[in-house]
Amino acid sequence: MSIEAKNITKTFGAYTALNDVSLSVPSGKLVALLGPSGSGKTTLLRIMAGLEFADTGSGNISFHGEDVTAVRAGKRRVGFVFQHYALFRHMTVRDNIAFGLDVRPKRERPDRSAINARVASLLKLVQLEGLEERFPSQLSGGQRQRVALARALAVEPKVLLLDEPFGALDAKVRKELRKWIRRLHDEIHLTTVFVTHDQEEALEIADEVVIMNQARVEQVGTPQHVYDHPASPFVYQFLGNVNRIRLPIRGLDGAGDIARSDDGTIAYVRPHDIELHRFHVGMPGEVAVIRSLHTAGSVARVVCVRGIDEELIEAELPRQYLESLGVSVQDTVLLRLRRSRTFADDYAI
Amino acid sequence: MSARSERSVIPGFNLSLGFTLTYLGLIVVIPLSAAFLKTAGMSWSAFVDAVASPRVLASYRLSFGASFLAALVNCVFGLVVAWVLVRYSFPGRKIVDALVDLPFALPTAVAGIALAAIYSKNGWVGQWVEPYGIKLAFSQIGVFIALTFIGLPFVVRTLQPVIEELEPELEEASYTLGASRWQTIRRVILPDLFPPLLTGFAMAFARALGEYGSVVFISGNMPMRTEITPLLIITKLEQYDYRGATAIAVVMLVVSFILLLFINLLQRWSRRHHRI
Repeated sequence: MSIEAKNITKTFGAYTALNDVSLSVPSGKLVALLGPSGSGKTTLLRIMAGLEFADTGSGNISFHGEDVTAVRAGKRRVGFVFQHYALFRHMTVRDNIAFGLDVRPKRERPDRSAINARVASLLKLVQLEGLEERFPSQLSGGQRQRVALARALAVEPKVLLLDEPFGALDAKVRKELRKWIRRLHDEIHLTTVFVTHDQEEALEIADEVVIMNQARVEQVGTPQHVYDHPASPFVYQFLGNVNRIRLPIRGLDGAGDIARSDDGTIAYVRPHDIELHRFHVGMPGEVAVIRSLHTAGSVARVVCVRGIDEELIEAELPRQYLESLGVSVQDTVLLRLRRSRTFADDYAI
Repeated sequence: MSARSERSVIPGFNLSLGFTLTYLGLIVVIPLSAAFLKTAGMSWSAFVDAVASPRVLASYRLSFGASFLAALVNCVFGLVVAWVLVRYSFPGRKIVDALVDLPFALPTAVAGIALAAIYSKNGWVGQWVEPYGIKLAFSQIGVFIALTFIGLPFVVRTLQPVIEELEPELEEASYTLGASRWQTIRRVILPDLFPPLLTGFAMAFARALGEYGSVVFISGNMPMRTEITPLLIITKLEQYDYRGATAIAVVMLVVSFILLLFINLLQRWSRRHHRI
C-alpha cells in the first residue's frame, strides 16, 4: 500500500510545521523521515496517521490512490507506534495486543480463541512468546516497544507508522531493535514509515531516506544516494561528518593544482575523501600541518591546520596507512581532496 | 522496617518515627480514645438506647445516605471539571481553577447561609422550582446540596495530578486501533482514573459525614427528617448528655473507619498493576 502526501501545509498558530510538503512512499518500502527536531517530520507522520489534520484546503493524503484526507485515524487502518510506547498500563500484554480486535463491533470481532491465537502468533513474531500475562510495568523498554509493535500489527494495518521508535531506549538495545525491525520488515513487507533524528539509524535500515529541514523536504533518496550526493549544504552537514573548506585550495577533486578559483565559495568534503601524503617540494596538493592524531579504532582521524587563518581540516584514513606514512603531530603534510561539492550562493561569511 | 539495624543514607529514622507517633497520639488517638472511654462507662442497654433510638437511626440514614450520594455525584462532575481544567486551555481557566478551592476556604457557616438563601423558596434558584412543589432548602435535598458543595474540591484536586500524567498518546493509540470515543473512555481512561477517583470519593465522603456548619442552615433540622448525626451529637451535648453524645460519636467513628478501610482496600486492589 503506497502513501501519497500532496502539498501538505500545517501551521500551529504562527508556527509553520509543514510548508507545502509533498512525498510519496512506495508500496512495501521501509522509509525514514529524518531531520533535526522541529523539522516537521513527526507532524507529517501524524498527518499520515490521521492524528493531526493538514490546514484546510492545503492538500491531501491518499493510500494507494484512495483519498483518505477526511478519514479519521481509526478507519485508516494504520498501525502507529509511539516513542514512549503508550501501552495500556492496566492491561496485560495479551489484552494490549488484543485491544484493536476487542473493540471491533460484535459481528466483525473474531472469537476468543481466534484472538488468543492471533496474540500468540504476534508474540512469536516479536519474539516475546509466553509473556501474555505480564503487565507493561514488568517489561523492559525494548520489550515494551515490541509489544507496542505487536499491538499495532494486530489490526492488520495497511501501513505501519513509527514515531521515533527507538528514541527512548539505550544505545545497545536501540541498535539491536533497529536491526530486528529491518529483518521484520523483510519478513512482512508492510509499507513502513519511521521518524528519527538519528542519521546513522536512518542510513542503516531504511530503503529510502527523506531528509526534512525547517518544514520542508530537502532530499529524498536511497541511503547511498543521499550520503554520496547531498542536494544541499544542510544535507551534507546533517549526514555524517563534513569539512567546510573555503576555496581556493590546491589539490581539489584529485587535480594537482588549483581546480577552482571562485574565491570564498565553500567546498564540502567528507573526511574519508581526503588523501594525506608526506610533504615533498614540487608534489601537488595543499600544504597543512598536523594538529592532532586520533588513532583509537580502525579508522584514524587526523586534524590538520592550513593557511594563515588556521582552518581546521579533518581527514579519515586507514590506521595502517597512517602508520606507514610515519607522520606525527606538527609534521607538514600534503592534502589531496578526492571528491568535493560546492553549492551556488553558499559563501563563507 | 528494619531501618534500625541497617545503615541508612537517610538519617533520623528513630527521631522522626518517635515524633510521628507522639504527634499522632496527641492529635488523633488520645481525643478519639477519650470518646471510647467515656462510652465504656455506659451500660449496654443505655448504649443501645442512645445509639439506636428511631431518631438517631433516621439521622444515620440521612447522614450516610446523603454523604454517599453527594460523594458519588462529585465523582462524576468532579471528573469532568478536573478533565476540562487539565486538558483544555481557555480564557479564565486560572480563575475557574481557583474557584474549585472556595468550598475549602469558605467558613462552613457562611456557605450554609449562602446556600440556604439561594435555595430557599424566595431564593435565586429556589423560586424556580417552588411552583413544581419541590423544596430544595429545609429538606433532605438541601442536605445533599450542602454536602455536594463541600466535597467537590476533594475529587477535583485528587484527580488533577493524575490526569496531568495521563499521556494523550494513550487516547491516540486507542483511536488508531479503531476504538470509538466511548470505548476509549471506558477501557483506556477510566481504569487509570479509578484509583484516584476512589481516593477522591473517600475524602469527599468522609468530609461530608463530619460536616456540620453548612448543613444546619439549609437542612431545617427537623427531627426524623432532616437531622444529621453531627447535629444530634451537638443537641445531646447541649442537654448535658455527654455519654449519649459520645456514644453516637463512637458509632460514627467505627462505621466511618470501616468504610474508609474498605475503600482503601478497594483502591489497593484497583491499583495492583500500577507498580512502576
